[in-house]
Amino acid sequence: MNGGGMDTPSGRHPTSIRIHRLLLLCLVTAAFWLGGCRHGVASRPGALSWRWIPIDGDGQEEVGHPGPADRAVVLVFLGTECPIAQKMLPELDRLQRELGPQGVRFLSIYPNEGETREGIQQQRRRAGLTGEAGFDPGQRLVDRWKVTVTPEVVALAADGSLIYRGRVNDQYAALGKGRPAATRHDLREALEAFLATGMAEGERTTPVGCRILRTP
Amino acid sequence: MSPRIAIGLVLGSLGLVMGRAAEPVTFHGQIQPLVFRHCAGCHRPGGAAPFPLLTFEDAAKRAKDLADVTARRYMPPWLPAPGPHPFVDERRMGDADIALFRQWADAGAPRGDPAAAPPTPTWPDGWLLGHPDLVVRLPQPYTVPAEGRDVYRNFVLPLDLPQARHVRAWELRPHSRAAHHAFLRVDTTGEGRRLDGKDPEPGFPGMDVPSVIQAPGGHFASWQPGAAPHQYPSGLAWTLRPGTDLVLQAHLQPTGVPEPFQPELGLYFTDQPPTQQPMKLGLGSVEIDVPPGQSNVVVRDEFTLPAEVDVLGVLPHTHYLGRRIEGTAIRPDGREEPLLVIPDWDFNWQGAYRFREPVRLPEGTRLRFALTFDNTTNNVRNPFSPPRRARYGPNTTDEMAELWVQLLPRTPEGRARLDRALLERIARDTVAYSRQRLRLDPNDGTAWINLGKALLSQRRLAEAETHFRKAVEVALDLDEGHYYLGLLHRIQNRPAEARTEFQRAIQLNPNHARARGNLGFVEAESGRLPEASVHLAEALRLDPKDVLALTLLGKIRLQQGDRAAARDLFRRALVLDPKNPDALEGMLAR
Repeated sequence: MNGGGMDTPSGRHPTSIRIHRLLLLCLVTAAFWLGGCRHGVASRPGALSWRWIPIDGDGQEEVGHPGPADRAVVLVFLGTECPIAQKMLPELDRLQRELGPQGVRFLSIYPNEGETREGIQQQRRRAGLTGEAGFDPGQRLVDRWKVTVTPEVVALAADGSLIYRGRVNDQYAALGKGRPAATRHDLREALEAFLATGMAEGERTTPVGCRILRTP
Repeated sequence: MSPRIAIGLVLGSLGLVMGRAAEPVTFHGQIQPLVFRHCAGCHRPGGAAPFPLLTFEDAAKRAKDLADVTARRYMPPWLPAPGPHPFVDERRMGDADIALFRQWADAGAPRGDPAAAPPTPTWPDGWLLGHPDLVVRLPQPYTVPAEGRDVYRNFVLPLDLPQARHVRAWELRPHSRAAHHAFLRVDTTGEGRRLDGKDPEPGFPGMDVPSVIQAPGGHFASWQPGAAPHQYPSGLAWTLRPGTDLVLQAHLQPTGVPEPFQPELGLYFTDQPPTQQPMKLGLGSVEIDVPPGQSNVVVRDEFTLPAEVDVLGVLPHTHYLGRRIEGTAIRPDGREEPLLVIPDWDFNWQGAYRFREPVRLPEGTRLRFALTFDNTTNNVRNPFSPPRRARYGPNTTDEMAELWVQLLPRTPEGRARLDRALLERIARDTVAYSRQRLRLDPNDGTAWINLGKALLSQRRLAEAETHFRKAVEVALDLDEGHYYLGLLHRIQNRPAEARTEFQRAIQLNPNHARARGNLGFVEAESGRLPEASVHLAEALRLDPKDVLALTLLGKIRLQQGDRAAARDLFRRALVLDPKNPDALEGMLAR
């Protein structure tokens, strides 16, 4: 559990004084969205939002919020050139089909340098993936959530509290080092537990995949 | 040392240090040449790898991953440790070069001077050895499912060669990211086509193919992404006869999206027939039983060379629990020499290794094999968590422990001795293997047949019969079981029962050439020449190289007074076997 639903990307529990100061800062700069308020608390109960460029949109940045039916939002960080990320697509598709109707919303986020709309759409078509996808301009969501690799997931309750973050499952222990099939399905287990209990446990695993691509 | 010299040395080394500091590791300076040499074969547009690495833009954004995967020696993929006998096309990167990737990443992946960039390699659009003499393409694509366990599938590549050809090189272009490794096999019996026909999709499944579908004479013929095309030294080509199909046994890995697989195979021929055929020694064991939680279970085997040989190559094989593999030669004077050491086996990068120079070993050398299994949670490739007991078996979640050694005996006498020793081993291994398979599955018809064959070769006819009967009892559609029962009854001089069994085998598999031929013999021995002719002609249609059928049908044609047809049959037999006494006699008959 993460207390009152406040969560920081690092997972530490800040003192209330720090929270207030940072909230104030965010409000003052009128940038109370995930990507914009990058250096501290970026969500508070009922205030989960994300700024991105939806892949099917007009190329403009948009701010998204959980809808009334959304109990949880899963930020799924993906890269079209990462074999481990591609390997997870069928499992992510299955999760979306099964848990989507129960109020879990999946957002595929493509933060890597060099990603193209065509490349992403082609891969998603081949995988038969539906659902929302978008770019992360300036890799602000990556920075906000301290995402290190693709695939990496950050599952949040609608109030912004952390349900789970890390790997999709345990098939890989390192790039190129894996089992024939996963033996633990961490994301699924965390989401199912959340749907059953309503408790955002804030569990973490170490994600395995390809580093987020950016030229130093 | 004079003070002046001392100061000079200090200044000199300072200069060296400063010189080094002034020359940071850059992409165009040090990294790009390494990438071109070690990575670009696969990491190029259209290559086997998931992304290219040719340009600064490609590489710089991955600088840290490059440093990591090279440091872990995951890339470039090369499993053997350096040893006294280097292999062809080693993809191993040196420690100093690996350190450069780390330094480059730590320095922020600087570009350096583009003017210093080495020329970008070019890949001829297509085949690496020039255009092949024959290109065969899988007629229909197979689609690898998006997810699930690895797929082992055998794809028949019909050749329809009008004449025999000698293969001096081959190259596989898989045109699919799902292709992880493959073996090339030859099938002179049509069995592959039959099995392919029984399966609605292209190819037929399984790691275990029927024994008639074999690796080309004495070769491994293995392929993996990024490997150079296979080229055989002079005299070691392999021959493809008319009517032969190639069968590509492919290990395909789901990639997350459905992947079409429609490989092309390029064959390069030579007019020089092979002068020698290598032999293969299988070291290993089916006695595998690895309890959960054990990290140090070792399986061993050994063989003493009965003759002087050249070792041409090695092919290790194990699944996910195998960790360390060692193949060692112990010379008669006691000197030990590693032939192959794989410290950290990776099932996904398995393949054969050919020695750059053949390793000559004298008679009396012991070849020793040791394979260590790790069935703990520390083995991140363990298919089961928590670990489960692992035993021998053909599925990837079972285990195997093998090291194949490709040998070329130095003399004909040596070849004969080696041949005898290998046959004994094969008989021993067949019995052990079949018993093991039957322990796992008492309804494994093929295992019952193989045990029966081993007994038949020892003339233990009654026991052999029991085993063949068991085979057709547990697997009702097993044509081979009836064929071997027929053969046994022929040996026992029970023609009526032999006829029934061969007929049953043909009913189950109309293309069973040996059953047809044997049925022809039974009919001929019973004096039913017209029936015999029909079966022998059909056997020859299925297998035009069946010398026994050629000569028997020739004799029948002679008796029937059709001398022209008889002579034609004897001539065909003599092309295949120039000293065949029946055919020679038939040609001289008036």
